[in-house]
Amino acid sequence: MGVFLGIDIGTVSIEIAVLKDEQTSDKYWNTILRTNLFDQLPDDQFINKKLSPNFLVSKYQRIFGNPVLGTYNLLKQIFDIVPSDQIKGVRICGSAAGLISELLGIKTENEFRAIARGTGFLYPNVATIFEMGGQHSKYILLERDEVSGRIGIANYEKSGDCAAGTGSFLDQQASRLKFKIEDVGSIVEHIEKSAKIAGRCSVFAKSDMIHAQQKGYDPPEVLKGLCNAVSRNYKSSVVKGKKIKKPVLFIGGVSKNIGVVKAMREIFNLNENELIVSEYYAWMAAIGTAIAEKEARDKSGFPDIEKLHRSSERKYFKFPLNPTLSMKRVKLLRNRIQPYNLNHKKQKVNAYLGVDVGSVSTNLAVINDDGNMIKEIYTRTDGRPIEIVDQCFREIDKEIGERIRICGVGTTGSGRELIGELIGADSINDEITAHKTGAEFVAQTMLDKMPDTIFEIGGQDSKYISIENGVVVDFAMNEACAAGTGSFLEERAEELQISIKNQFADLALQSKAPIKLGERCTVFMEQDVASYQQRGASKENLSAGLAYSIVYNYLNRVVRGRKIGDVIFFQGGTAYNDAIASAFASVLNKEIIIPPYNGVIGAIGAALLAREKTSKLKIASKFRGFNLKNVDYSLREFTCKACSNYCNMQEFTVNNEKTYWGDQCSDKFRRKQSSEKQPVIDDLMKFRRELLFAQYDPDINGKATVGLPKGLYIYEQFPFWNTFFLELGYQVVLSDETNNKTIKDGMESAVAEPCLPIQAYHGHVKKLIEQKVDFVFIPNLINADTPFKNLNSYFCPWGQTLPFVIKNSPEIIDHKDKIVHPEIRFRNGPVAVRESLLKTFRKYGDKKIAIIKAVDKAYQAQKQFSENLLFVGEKALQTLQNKDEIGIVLIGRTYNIYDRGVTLDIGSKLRDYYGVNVIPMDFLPVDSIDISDVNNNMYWNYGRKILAAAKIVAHYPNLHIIYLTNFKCGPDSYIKHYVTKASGKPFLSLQFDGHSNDAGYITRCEAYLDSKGFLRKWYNTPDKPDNRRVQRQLVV
Amino acid sequence: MNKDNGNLIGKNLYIPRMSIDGASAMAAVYRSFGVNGQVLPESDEYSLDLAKQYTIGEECYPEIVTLGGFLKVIEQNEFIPEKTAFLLPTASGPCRFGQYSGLLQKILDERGLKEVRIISPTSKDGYSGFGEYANNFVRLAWWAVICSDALRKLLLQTRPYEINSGATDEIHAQCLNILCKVLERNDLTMKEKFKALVDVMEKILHRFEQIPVNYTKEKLLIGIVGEIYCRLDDFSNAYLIRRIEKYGGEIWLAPIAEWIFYVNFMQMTDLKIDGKSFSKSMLGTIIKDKIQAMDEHKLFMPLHNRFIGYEEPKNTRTIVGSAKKYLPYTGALGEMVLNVGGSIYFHSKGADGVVDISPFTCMNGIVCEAVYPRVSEDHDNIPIKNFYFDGTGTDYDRDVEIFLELASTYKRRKKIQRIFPPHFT
Repeated sequence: MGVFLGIDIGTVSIEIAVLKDEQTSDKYWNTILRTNLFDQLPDDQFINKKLSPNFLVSKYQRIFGNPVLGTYNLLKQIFDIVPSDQIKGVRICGSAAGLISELLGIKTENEFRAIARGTGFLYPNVATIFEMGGQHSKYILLERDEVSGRIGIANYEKSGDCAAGTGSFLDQQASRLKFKIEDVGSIVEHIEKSAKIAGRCSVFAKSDMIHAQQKGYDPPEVLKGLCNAVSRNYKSSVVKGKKIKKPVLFIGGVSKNIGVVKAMREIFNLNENELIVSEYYAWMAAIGTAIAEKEARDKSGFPDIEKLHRSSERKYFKFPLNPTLSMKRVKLLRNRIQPYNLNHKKQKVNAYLGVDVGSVSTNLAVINDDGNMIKEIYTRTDGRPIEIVDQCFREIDKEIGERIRICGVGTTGSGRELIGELIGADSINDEITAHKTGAEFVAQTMLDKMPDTIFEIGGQDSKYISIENGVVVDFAMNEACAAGTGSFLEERAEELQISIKNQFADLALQSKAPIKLGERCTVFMEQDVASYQQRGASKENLSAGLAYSIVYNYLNRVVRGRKIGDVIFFQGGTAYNDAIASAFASVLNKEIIIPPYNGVIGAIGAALLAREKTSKLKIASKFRGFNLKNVDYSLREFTCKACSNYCNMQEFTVNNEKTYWGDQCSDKFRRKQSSEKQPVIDDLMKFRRELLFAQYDPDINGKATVGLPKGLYIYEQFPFWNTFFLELGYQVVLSDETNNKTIKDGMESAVAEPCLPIQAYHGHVKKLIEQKVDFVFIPNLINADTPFKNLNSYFCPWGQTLPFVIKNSPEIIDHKDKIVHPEIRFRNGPVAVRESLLKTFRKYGDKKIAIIKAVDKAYQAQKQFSENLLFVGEKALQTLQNKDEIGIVLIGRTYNIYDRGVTLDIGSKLRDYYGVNVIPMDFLPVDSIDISDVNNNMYWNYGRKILAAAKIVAHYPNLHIIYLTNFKCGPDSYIKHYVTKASGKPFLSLQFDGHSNDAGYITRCEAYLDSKGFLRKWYNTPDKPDNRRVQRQLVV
Repeated sequence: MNKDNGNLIGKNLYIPRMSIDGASAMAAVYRSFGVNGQVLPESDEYSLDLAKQYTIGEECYPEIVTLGGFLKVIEQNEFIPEKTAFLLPTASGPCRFGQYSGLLQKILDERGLKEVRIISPTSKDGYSGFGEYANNFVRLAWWAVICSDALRKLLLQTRPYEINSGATDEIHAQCLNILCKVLERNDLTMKEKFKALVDVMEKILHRFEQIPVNYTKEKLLIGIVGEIYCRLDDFSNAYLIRRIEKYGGEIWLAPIAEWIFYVNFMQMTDLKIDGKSFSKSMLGTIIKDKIQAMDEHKLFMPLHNRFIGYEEPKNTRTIVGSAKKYLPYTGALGEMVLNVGGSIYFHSKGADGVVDISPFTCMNGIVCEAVYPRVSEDHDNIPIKNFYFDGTGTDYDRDVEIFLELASTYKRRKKIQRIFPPHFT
């Protein structure tokens, strides 16, 4: 007779489960039960009623940040009731299990395994577990071993370092609304309406909540919105599209919240029998651990808990530390400028106004002819851009309106179009260009070197800009996370009761021992800081630690391994905080330069851009004056439901022109850029698209239907395969162009996580199978034809193995016999290709002579297609030279350039939005270029072509490169290294990852085009050659 | 590589840790030819940081690890460019491995270190200036591979059962030293050296048999396949092997020799595809393959009893043949066929699970991951799991524990039992 204890010790609470063995008498069991330490929880309809009486569970107990003491206290109470000879074993799991097991000398159990085991025991039918706890959430897919009946884990995922999708998110938001988290469920249970909370990140959710309340939502409706948001977050950040088998058991503290349970059922489309909740919601891991102890051969036995007591009195925590902060490597330029004085000017001063309207902050700068600052304003946008600009204008007007004459106005930021229209801006530029222009101006006037890296950290947004020879080559910004932004510090400083403006930096710089807080989500950092404070950490050391944390958060979440140069400008509102600058210097071991007026550099840049345009073009400003009253505009609000973000939109109508504000993606509502520029060459993207599929006719009937997935190499080889099949009398069926559904289907059918084009290809195959084609043709393409026979000309391993990978996808495996996949080596010439096709298609009854003829025709069609491209390309290139115009060469894999669903049709957008002359690389004679001087072992077909195209660009001063690639492209990660070597020019690389949001890409393109002098004819680009007409002979 | 084939004699040649035993043995082989072969210092956070200055973070992890190691050598005070050479093998596709040495070269060039030699042993460059000794070099290098493979195998089959923690590692280090001492001798003829190596293998076996152990049939036998560098370098795979051992596993690690035999095999396959079945190169490759197999057989002889139940696959055809159903070797090029074939082989030897160790975003690994579910299904549902590495460690212990749970479930119901060598009884 005896019992087994399973302990689950987490960050917030402790749970203990008691499992009795077969010999334990009911009487004895009841004695334990009668103590108020334990509960036997009520059964529910899904529980295994035979087994549940074997368990008792401890009542909910918080540990208040001290797991050792918490464990001791509870165990002590238990051991007072249960004699030591009755305790057959104790085992522990949970986040603090390691520490306690060491002290007690007991075994630990893996938490996932424990939950799975506990569930398998009490809920034998459950197939998937969702756990949403205070700090952590989990997803576990169970698998039952047919023979032994044991439950194993087939797949699992946990929430990472983001609080979205965990109880903390809900907890923090609820307390902002002054509700206790325990009450949320009952409050929202019968609420019909709910506010839309978009933000994944708690910081952004806060602004959503404020807006919702402003719009008249009651707090309960906002709470309901939060329940929906946390469920959506759980789905997107924990489950991430993994398989869900029914029924699902929903456990963890949050599962007690009926509001969330309802939201989860709705979001995962599960009914009450498919998503079930358990009274044992918090004890599943403890129960599993007790079972593990019972089943284990090596039992822990009865531990001496006094060891815990002794150790809980000792201080076993030593704070990990960062180096102390120092201003030695921080260059503060703000100390080197004199304030500009308007007072002794007798006449009106010529002035330029820059307005930077971001989603978070709005900044204005008024500068004089020489670029000296007359007046700066840094304020929050608060979702009301027009009102805010109006307020700022009044302030300027009142203070200095009389003494300045506005000669030029520039706008930038995400509200640049809206405000530009409203105030009559002379120039409207993207924010990257504006920040770069501002920083470069500072560098020109105050330093002897130009910036190559800009860190821009504002209140809720942060950016990174990389510049090479004056050209923007890379850009990144925070997306769904505020951990690398100023708000991260603001909230923490508030808790520490430190004024962020006046005290924080001083305190931090005094710190002798900055605590290493690591990189953390804002929500978790709140908990960390609180626990450090409890353990006696000083404000100095905590503030210095936080300064480091924001730096690590920024570097790891925004910059993410991108290149950091040697002349680093740190700007944005956060750069006022010297502690952060000094933490940057310490972490990077590099000098950090803080420009003057660091908070409004974007606005300064916008003003400078306006000054440049109006003075170079000698035009008068279109500025409408500081009084916006005279401008007629109207406003309508609505929610965009184009994606799961549910953005709150504002539609402004200014002079009958609609402008939208408030969305994160801008894809749907962005007003097309109206560039005055017109392309001088034909639309080659369109030309090629039409030419490629010119011979496609789905209405031609044939003896059988052959499906060609419209992805990857078909964007190049369609003429070949289409001709081949038509000649043999088949009916060719192309799948639809890649769209969101293709990508979603593809991601779901792909077993592993290859690159996006391969995933999308899965979706195409699935679609063709649904269309019931007779065959799906997926050649096992080994290599491509090449004039350079000394090296191979491989497709990448994913491309090569496509048919084998596709055939094994669970979604497709039942149709695997439909997939036809001859091994094709184009490099080995037509005879080899013919042999392989003969081998395959004679099996299907095609005649040898017909196949031979079809192969010949296919080769002809493909040749014709390529020659056409080259002919048109040559003409386009000639036109560019004759008209002295800039052209952008798109380089990359054919499918990245042309599959519009994958790379968001960037090529055509460049032309449509900005009037760019776009030349995709297969219009250039790449096969006549030897690249062995750039890379002498380029055995990939596309790699060779890409570098050859880059070499061609080297010979034309007016050609520049945009490289289209996709996330996880293996070969491109190497090929990219050689592009500048081949072309001699900095280039822009755009990496696509399957999100349909093109705003970021467009902004990057705009900044790149601008720095290449494409958008500002009057601008002297750094790499502009003296004589554009120089055209050297191509080396063939 | 594209560098001149000037003499390497007297230079410090740094060899990446594609297993500590393999690299040490190879360094000894170079030393016997008058080149100062050195094992590349172990990687750490600092060397990764060095490498990250030159990479965009998307390259293969092994490249970043080795690059960091080389850059660390350059930072050393005693570094003299003219006296330094780096060993970095190459290939001609289709995976990214063949690009490593080119990128290293580019980085060295940009740093103005053109004097530093990069040695990428291929037959094309006559094995880097050994001229008439090239054949001897190749053969000795092969012996080094086999002996170090055997040594590692002994380590892995003993360590999980040791009674005194650390004892096996200590013996392993001593034995590696003994092996290297023989390999680096330059006073022996090839024939004498071979004989000496056979003796060394016996001596090594004897040493291992002295280790106090407690053999139990309870341990889970886990086969490891995957990307060759990542699976063999402890730092790169975040010490995964020791973690698996910690939670009750015994490891059977696919050896280096497997790759070399595969390269021979694919050379022959390519010649056949190119219609050169009866060519001089074909003949050369066949002879090389046969000699290598023979040498391997002889060097392994002393260990025959010890390796009962641990026999490596007979030849490459055995491995790729069983993988053919999932990935045919003419249509799926590279390690992926060895990983899939290897997994099936481990199943046939009664292993309790298979782990595939690959760098994060490894193209081979991801193709394998896509077919493993079916491989597993066709082979009694033996658990197969991919572990990916990029230096940003997650909680590997947790993952290992969960995997071993699956393996122990499988062990209870598996149909093919492993054969235990005599020392288990």
